[in-house]
Amino acid sequence: MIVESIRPLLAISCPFICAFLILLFRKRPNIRESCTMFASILQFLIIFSMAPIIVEGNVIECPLFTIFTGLDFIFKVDAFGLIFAITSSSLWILVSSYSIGYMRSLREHAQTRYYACFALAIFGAVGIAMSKNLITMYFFYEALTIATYPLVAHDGLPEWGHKAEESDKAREARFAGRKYLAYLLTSGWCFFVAIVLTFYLTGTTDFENGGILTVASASRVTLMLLFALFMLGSMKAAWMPFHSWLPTAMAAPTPVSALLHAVAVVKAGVFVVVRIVCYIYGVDLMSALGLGIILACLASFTMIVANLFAIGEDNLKRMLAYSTINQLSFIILGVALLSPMGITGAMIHIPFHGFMKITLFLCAGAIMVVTGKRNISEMAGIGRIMPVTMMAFTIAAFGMCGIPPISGFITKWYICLGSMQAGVVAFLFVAVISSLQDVVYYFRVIRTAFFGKPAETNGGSGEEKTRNKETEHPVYLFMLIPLAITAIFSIMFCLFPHAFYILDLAQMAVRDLFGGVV
Amino acid sequence: MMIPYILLQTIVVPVIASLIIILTKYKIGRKSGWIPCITLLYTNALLCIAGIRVYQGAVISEEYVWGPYVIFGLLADGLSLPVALIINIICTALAFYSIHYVEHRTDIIYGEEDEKTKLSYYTTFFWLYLLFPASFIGICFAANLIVIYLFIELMVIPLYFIMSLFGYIERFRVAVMCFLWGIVGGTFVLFGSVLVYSQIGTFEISELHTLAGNPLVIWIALLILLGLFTKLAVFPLHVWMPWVHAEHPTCIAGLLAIYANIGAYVIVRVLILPLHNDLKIFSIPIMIMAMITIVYGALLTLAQDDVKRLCACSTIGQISYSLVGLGALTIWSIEGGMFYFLSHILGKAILFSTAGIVVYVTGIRDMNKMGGLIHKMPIAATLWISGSIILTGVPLSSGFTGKWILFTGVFGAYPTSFGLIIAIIGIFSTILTGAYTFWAAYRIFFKGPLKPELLNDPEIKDPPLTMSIPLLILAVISIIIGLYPKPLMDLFHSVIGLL
Repeated sequence: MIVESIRPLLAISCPFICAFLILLFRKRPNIRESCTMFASILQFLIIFSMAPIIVEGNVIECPLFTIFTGLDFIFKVDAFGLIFAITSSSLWILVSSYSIGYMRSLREHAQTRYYACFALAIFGAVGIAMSKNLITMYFFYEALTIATYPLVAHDGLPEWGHKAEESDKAREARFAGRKYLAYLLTSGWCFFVAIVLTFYLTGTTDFENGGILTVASASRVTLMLLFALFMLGSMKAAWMPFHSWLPTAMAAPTPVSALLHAVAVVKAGVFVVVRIVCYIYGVDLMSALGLGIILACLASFTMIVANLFAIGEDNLKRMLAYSTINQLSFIILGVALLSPMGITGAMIHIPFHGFMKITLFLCAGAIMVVTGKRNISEMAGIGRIMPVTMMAFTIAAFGMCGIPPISGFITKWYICLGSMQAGVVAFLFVAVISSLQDVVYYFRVIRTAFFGKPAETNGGSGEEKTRNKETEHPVYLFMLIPLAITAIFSIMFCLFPHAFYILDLAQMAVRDLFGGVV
Repeated sequence: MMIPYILLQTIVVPVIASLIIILTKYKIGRKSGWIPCITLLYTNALLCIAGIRVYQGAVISEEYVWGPYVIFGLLADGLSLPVALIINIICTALAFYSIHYVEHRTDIIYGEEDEKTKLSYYTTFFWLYLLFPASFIGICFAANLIVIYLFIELMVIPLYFIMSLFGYIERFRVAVMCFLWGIVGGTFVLFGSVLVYSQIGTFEISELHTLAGNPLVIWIALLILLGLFTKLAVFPLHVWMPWVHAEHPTCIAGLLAIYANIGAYVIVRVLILPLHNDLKIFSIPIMIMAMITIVYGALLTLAQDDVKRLCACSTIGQISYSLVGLGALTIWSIEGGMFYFLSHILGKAILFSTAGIVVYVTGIRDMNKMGGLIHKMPIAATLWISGSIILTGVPLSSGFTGKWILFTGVFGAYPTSFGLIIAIIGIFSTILTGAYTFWAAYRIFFKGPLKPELLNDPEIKDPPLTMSIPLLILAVISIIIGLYPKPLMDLFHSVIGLL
């Protein structure tokens, strides 16, 4: 049943209005930061209030306006969209709190621009989650790209009216920003070409269960080409060989990395892939064209190769970036299996991976703020200095490897089941191998942190070094609480996967996709 | 409300106003800059009234006997009226813009002359200026080939004089260049028209459909297309464009974009509507030429350092978007091409005039010497960015809507593969548009801190309101037709939809 409601519009205008309030209160940091916190909590409540309606089997629609035939701006919240919306809005609360601690303790410049762009990025992400058709989605997709650019290049862009820095760090950040824009704008244009072509072929761009394209809509070659364009358009999902913008973008401040990896950007990429596979092409057409296997092979390739990169990486944040590339392709693999279990796994991996990966990034940032260390080889004994942080890190790392009782286990379980259900056991092995690789590089970090001996430097006060430093930073609580919460949630999602209705929503979405038979 | 001779008035009133300026130039002096503004506001009102009638389904036509063979016919239908209205609005905006600009320009060029001579030059600009709207509206409403030819030639004349009196750098040479190219283009159209007369014995556009199937129709179309392609600056007939478009006084920049782009309208009116089937043979060549021009124009633009050259070269590529749509010959692509034509002239008027503002204020044309100007000229920066948004086709601007309609139509033209490739290349080349407009914005307004000599100059500030507000209004119009294109598309569809 379709329920008309303006709640989607309210949820989307929350961060949008917030961005302007942030600019308005640029002279008063405390009010500015409370705006962010307030807007994030409000947005989460609005989005969460839609969940009971959706779980009952309804769909919320909010038509906005029509420009021209095909150019309709309509919001629609279905089960799958709501999963993504819940993920990004709940993580926004935590990242905002973390940002306050991070930005203040490092005394970063241009904080107003930072918070405003962050809010706009959330605006883009939630908009993508709630779009009814490709055109609306395209609009928010580009908004997300553009809003994230100042965040990625944050260290290189000077404060308004100041001279740009010329340090190596600043130059690296500017390079990262340019690369980010170049990749993602090109991808956006591919996406637009694909949308126009889809509209021409079918006369609509709405997402429908079972897809809008059929074998009869165009020749086989055209459909394959169109799919290639769509995949190029979802370069945000960082599949190989178009992944290199993501490790480069690690030059950004850590909360921004968290935004890129867990809250909005890459998640938007896989979200688009799932939308296209399930709601534009549809499962039947995908298997009729043999695209499922091709996509699964691409994803498997990315998973294995990205993990090899991660094993060889010493910079903690870059290692996490490669791990993200791996996990994103795991989601794509889940969808490409085209079996109900696989798709369920892919859908719930979006929030679960978000919570785990954000924990990892927040920990990496916390280590950097407290000790100033970036490389794994320097982190020997850090677990004794920052016990809570490293415990959270360990929990999330276990989750990445798929060890119970962390939420990563559930998704791995579903996707492995999915590959059995699809009858392609080969991909089961891919999943297993990539999990083993995960173990290799995550355990290296855990071992160094807890069991490694700190290098003896400038003699003497060894005692002082091992002291618990976490309590020293007054603003550090802003950072510690979010990462503890996300770690706890990662465990909770395994024990109670129905929390926040996530598993219910995914199962409902899959039930609708397969016409009620699962 | 019935106004007598409503269409004739829109053409004749500016000419009369121009005569008034000539006759009274020493009497009213500096105030003569306001006469074109008032006149054009009046013709805008007339066009709006006619627009309402046309939107209600009427077709307004007027006929005046003129010589033995030719009837001076005017026709306002769903195609010609919106084009005329938008063009007239741009002319009005630029008339306001010119008031300060021309004063500044005459001071620079004729600074040493005495006050009376300066006044004479100043007023000369305005009476010449009024001939532009008269000829543009004439082309839009003309109902027969000779009248179209007449106005095509007419618009070259004020351009030549304004160019040589107020242009930049090598202005006399460039003026001759634009005159020659303009006349040659017009002459080809005349040849085509005469050939039409030899076949069907009339110049009336409404009778052109009787030519269909005639063996000479290919040659006629070829001649007319050739003539108009020189106006449209299609590669390799674009040579005049970077020169003429960059060196003229910036206040007529938007008019020059119209001067070049109005050829697209003439193609639709004269060739596509009556001779749709015979034109199919030209479809693929036109699209290929347009594609080459788009890519070539964009690359040419990327290489520019001079801010006015940049805008000038960008016109080459932008015009060809309309041409791709016309070449595809489907209903949607033609409507999209016309829509994009309007969107482009709006966007280009804003962009180019903003470049003019920058040059007017700083006196610098090289973008490498600018940078950081946003701190002193926020309004100009806003204008430049809105112009960039319209030309690039960022969603919710008219450029986006135009491209959407255009390329949906182009996909439909050759479903096999050709249309696909053309449309894909076309949409990709919009990346280049985005690159050069926004990169230029970065170089002019954002890059680095302001140079000290610019920072300490109190003259560098936002331009007077008569320059910025008209451009802001154009930006608003573009957003309105981008968000709510229905009335415009309904009007287009009432004519083009009959194909």
